[in-house]
Amino acid sequence: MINTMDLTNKKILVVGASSETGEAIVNQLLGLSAFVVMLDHVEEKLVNIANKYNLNKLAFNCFNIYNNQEIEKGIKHLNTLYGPFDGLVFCGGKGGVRPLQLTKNSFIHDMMNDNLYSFVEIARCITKKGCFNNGGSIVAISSVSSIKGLKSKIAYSASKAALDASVRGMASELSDKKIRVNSILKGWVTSDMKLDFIQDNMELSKNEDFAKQILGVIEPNEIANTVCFLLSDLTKTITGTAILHDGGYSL
Amino acid sequence: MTNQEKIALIEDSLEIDGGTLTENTQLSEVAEYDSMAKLTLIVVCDEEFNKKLTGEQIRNFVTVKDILDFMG
Amino acid sequence: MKHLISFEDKVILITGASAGIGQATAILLSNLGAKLILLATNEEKLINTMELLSGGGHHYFCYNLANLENIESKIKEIINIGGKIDGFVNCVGVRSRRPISLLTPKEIRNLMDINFGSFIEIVRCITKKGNFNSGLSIVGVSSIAAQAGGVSVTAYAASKAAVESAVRCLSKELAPKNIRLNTVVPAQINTPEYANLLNMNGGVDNVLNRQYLGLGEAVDVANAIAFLLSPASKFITGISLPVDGGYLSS
Repeated sequence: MINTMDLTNKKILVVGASSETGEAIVNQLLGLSAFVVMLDHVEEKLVNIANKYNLNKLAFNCFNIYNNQEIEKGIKHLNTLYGPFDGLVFCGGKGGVRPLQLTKNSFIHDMMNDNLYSFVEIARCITKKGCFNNGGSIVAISSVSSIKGLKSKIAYSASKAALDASVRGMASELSDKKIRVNSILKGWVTSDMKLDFIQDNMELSKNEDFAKQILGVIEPNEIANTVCFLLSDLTKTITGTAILHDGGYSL
Repeated sequence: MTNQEKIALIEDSLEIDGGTLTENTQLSEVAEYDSMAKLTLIVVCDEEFNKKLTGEQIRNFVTVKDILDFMG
Repeated sequence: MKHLISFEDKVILITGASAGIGQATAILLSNLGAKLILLATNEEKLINTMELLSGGGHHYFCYNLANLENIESKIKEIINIGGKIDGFVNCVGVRSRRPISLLTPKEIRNLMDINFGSFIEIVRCITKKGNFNSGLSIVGVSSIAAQAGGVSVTAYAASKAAVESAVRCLSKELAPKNIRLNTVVPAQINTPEYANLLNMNGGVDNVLNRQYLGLGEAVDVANAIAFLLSPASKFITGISLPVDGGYLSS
């Protein structure tokens, strides 16, 4: 039997690997025989994940991925250790709800910094000459919030829309190097519900919101499947898209 | 911050006319006290008083005084 | 004759009104009876636009919107002098062309501040109680780059996409206050900025191959803005309206 999503010999950097979705992605990548480097700013969680697998195909590294001063040096170091990468997955970033009157610049900056600037900076550094192989693939985790508005999610939605737009810009630009760039517009994932406690507790349009996701809540490993699909050679002519993985939320 | 100042802060944050609220005002009778207002309150308590307000605590607020007590 | 679109005695704030789409919008709205408040960085160019307006009661203010911290006090001053706001058109938009290899965090942040941050801050300030009249309509100017992407316009496209996305959230959040928000999404428009771009590309513009109605004029965008500002569109909110000569459909 053939495995069309075989990722053997592909070196994949997973940024934000310590989140539940991040770990699910790592798990799936290892299952498809990729070499995985986990990156995040909390070492402890990465150690825990690494210990679960204890494989020579799994490495991790730690620096503050949200500090733009550290990224260039950090990525350079990774390239020195592991050579050029074939894939980058960005599943870092953060959520957060605030009404407009409290959506001040500092809040917007934090959101943009974690959800957009650090992604662009990591992509910028890792696509330098000799750091990323031709034919490689970049995948960013975005959200259906990018295209659907929700009260009090102004900064979050804007950061995800900006992320998707940056993906389209990079995709056109990096096509010369045969590097593909795509994002995934995810709907409600089980792990989000633990994080988004305010929304959860306040029931800010929560029930109608869940009802919109007609296939129910998504499991992290399902998002991981879509990530692997976009990293694999199955999609070597797919670039610049934002793939909806939202259980029908946006219908 | 005095209770009067806290009340002024709540009125301002929730866009309620100044002088409308007193300590004894029942929250259920304040038209502006909706889900967006509650979310606003969470952020205000966090930023101004460095206190995390949970949904459970908010549900237990009955009068303005309850909010003032939480703010401390 | 009935006027479907009229701004008699309405106060409209326009940012970035010193040239291009902003200027064309100011001229058109003044012809439709609006009292305008123009906000831009360059005083000389602002005065130039003021001279092109019809009617009276217009004001202008010089302010660099890259300075996010003082927008709130500026808006207070503007409302004290010009009155409560009935409409706001955000035409500020700094273009930047940078390959990804040069797109440093500082560059992207600066562009985000001016194209997105200033828009949100102005909306935040004018939608405070007492600063606007019921029926307030807000129109942001986006770009096809936000939806279609383009080589080396990554940061610009991201900032415009952020505006469109925020407008979808704000239209829901501010609906109870009877405030509407929409964006227009122009393609290539005959403006001084476009002339610069064409110059840089040696007179060649491949975008026009897909823009099958040809090059647009600034007034084409202004007309769409006027419609979205007016009560004629009072049931339209949260949308991104392409004014693109067909680009996004080709």
